Amino acid sequence: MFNFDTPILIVDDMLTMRKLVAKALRGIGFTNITDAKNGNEAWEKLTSAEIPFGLVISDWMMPDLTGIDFLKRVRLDPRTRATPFLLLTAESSKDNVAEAVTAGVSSYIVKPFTPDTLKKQLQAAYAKHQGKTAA
Amino acid sequence: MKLLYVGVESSFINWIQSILEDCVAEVIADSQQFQNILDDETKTFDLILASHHTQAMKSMPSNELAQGLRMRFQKTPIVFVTQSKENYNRAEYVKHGFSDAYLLPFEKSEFLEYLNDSVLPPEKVYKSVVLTDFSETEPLPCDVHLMLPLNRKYVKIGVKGGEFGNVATDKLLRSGTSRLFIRKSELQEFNAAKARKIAQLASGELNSTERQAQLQSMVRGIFTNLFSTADETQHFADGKSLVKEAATIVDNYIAGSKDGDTFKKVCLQIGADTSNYSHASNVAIFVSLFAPALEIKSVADLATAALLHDLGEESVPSEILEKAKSELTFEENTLYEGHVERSLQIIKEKRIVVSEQIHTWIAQHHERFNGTGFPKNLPGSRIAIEAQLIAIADEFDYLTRAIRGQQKLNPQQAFKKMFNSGYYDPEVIKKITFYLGLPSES
Ligand SMILES: [Fe+2]
Ligand SMILES: [Fe+2]
Repeated sequence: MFNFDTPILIVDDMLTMRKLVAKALRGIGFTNITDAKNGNEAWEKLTSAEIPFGLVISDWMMPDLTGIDFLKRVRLDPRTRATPFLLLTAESSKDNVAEAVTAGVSSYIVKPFTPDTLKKQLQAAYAKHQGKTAA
Repeated sequence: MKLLYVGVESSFINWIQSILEDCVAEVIADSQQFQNILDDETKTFDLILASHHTQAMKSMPSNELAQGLRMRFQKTPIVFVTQSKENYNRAEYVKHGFSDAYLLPFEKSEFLEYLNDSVLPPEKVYKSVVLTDFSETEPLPCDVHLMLPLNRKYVKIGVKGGEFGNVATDKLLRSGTSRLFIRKSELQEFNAAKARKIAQLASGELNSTERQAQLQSMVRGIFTNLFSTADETQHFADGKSLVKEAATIVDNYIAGSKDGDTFKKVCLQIGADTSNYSHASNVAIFVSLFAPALEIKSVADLATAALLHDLGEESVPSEILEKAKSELTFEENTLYEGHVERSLQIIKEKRIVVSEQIHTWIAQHHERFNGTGFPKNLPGSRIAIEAQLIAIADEFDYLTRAIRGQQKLNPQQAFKKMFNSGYYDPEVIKKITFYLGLPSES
């Protein structure tokens, strides 16, 4: 179900989280992982990539450009509109999930999470995405 | 038991380590080490304690700390501890991924309860005790538990401050076991009560055989603990803590008895930095344990004398102290034997106020039953029983503690050697070994 060569972009202001998510992804089998430490850097990388990213995993709470604002920007641009987008939220910001859904998030994960949860949510995100493109 | 401390202050680490006894600890103080531990997949821990105490970890927000640790150690209990009331929000910490959070020292007892109930294997939490450790007349010094052997579950049958009532006795009888358990975190309260009870029993009139039996079983228990390091099946660290525990009980027992004040004062006055303090305090412990065997009630005075008996050795050169007595030249021997008189002099110089009988016992601690001792070659009949007891405890410590490179004997071997030497009253040795439950020599 996954294409393990798919380039994945991780966006998080915390080095610890970027490393841990990358590690979890490598554990699942993904091999092409890039990271960015804020929304602007991520936007830069997303729009200048030679091979378009197949998935974005972004933290919600980030200084400057928040995860949700970044998501909105991604969904507005025709180049990135269809890219599966996964938001990482802390339990405390769960209430805002509705906003994320409206903004077009593919799926979200509540931190802290296990690699297993990540895998399941990835599957969900892909399934949703495939459903959308088929329709 | 393996523990990981992340950003926790060292005084706190020391406190926890002392509670958990033999537990291996890894300490992480800065964010680089933190990254390393998250990257290293080989490591596992039984418990993780995290905080932002240390300067280098302060910059890491507690949610990052929680998420990082939780993702790396999914099933390990990770507890956040902090001393700062500011922003303290337990629910918030748990949301971030901590198993629990404690504000110390305010929530100290809750924290200990958590360690007891959720984290530690039962043998680390509970200590086995016996029914006679508790007094029928005094409120319980701590909670008392019973273990159901089938599922190794501990049930509380006595509550701290309450009494060990009929219901508890019934439960104990029905359980078919005589073993009771207390929480190790309440050991201090338990030991203090135990020491008070021994002091009471030892200094009071032992008219009932039951009281005598109680005292004897307590003394035997302590004595066994002191020598349990000799048992090779026992973990060394366990043995060490047992000895420490036994010594604390004896200390309290002496200090808690009728005339324990002198003992306490003398302890302070001579100070633990006295050159042979450990020998002196060992001898004090042993005489206290041997005294009930001879129905001696002035335990505190006896222990005080033991503490002071060798003060005079400080003026004897260590080369002389290290040699066997038979190898000493005439001059060296004179110097060595002078330590007895010197001890009495030092007591005067330091203005240590002790009773006349304590002086006498110290003066006689090298006299021997067969009249071959020094300085006065007194015959056995003229040596105070207390002085004989100090002499026995003195030699017993020497024989069992591998001093001066000598082979260590076990208690039984040591008493046998003394029994056969002629230096000590064989009847006294017999009474002691009988009292302590050691096989007698005849
Ligand atoms: Fe001596
Ligand atoms: Fe001595």
